[in-house]
Amino acid sequence: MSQTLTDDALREVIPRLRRFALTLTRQEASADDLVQACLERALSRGAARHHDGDLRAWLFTILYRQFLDGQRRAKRYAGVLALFGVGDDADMAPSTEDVVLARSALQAFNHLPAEQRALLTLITVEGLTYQEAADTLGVAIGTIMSRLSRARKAMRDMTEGQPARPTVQVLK
Amino acid sequence: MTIHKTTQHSLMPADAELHAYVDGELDTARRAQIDALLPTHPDLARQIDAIRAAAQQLRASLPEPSPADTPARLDPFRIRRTLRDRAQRRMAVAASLVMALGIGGVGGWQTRELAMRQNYLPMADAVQAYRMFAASEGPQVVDVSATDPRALQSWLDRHFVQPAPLPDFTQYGFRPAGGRLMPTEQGTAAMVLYRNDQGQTIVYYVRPPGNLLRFGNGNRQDGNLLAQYWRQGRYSYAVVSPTDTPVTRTLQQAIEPSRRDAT
Repeated sequence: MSQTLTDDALREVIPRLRRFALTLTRQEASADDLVQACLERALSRGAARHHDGDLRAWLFTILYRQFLDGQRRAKRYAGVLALFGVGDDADMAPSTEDVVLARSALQAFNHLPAEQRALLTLITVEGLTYQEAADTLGVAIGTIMSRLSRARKAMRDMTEGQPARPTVQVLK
Repeated sequence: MTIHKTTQHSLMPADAELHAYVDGELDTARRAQIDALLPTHPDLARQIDAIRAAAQQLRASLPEPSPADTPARLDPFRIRRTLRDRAQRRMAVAASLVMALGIGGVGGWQTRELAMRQNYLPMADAVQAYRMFAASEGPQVVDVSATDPRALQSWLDRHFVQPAPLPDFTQYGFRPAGGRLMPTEQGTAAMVLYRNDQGQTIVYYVRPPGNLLRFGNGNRQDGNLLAQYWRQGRYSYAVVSPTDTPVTRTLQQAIEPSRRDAT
């Protein structure tokens, strides 16, 4: 049913888990919290749930679900806070200044919705197949394809807002 | 991969197909078609390059963290230990709860039984029956007024399953005078009155043992009465007799339950 989860196998994947978590939360501390929750879940449910598939993809799936759960909780919490007149934190919504400053690919990336960030990380950075990504994110493979081109177009739009260096080069 | 099929016949790839091309998700036939298009369609080649470049840029922006930077709290060994400790703590809490419930429950039950035993007087109902009925004269206190032991025995047999034979106290001067049924907590009980020529009375008492408290054989002094009781077969039996008269002493000695074999 499963190979046993050795500590060494896990240690090898943890840096990638941290990167994936960081693209989701965009904050290092909460990213590591997410990784910890993911590992605890993986080790407590243990080898029983670990099918012969790719360890990395399996852990990504757990981590993404934990992230979504956390977001749902945060949303509920934000709703409660709003009742008491506490505004929701605006730091995650891109301000005009941020968009102007979105020079680098990373800044543009960080303005994408979380599901698009997850998708780009899994496919472009981690090199998962469309099918593996669909399994990890729990969506259909057709959804993966349409979302992927939408996400890349959004990034392109943002980074193209910067001064057009190629034009200058052409003129020269 | 529906998208592959729908665009199978159109030569120009759709946007999503370009991404699939870059990501290596196209089947070989379609891939070859696009490769064939590239030399004549520089715009297509540029789009593909742009997608590749953006992907490369993103990969460069998101380097894999060094394993050395992994915080200690994320080490699998430590997480396993944390989980183990947590499980043990939960087990300990659960165990202590079970212990507390167990001690409380068992202890409480035993205390209750002890309290009941202390307050419970074996065959108190037999003594009570004696006080109510044996002391009063007259035939109205009995259901069956019979002096023939056989009549009384068949009366007993009707109400009990294989009761012990009615004792014969004639050698002590006591003869059966009648019987009476009465309800008790443990079920129907029967008493048989014996009288001697002086009008003194003893009571023979039969009832189901009940299932709450079991007691074996013994005797108990209650005022001027002595209740001697024993278990035999399905029922509890008692003989209640007065102690303030010498005529019953030999009888009491004869039936003393502590001298019987326990049944």
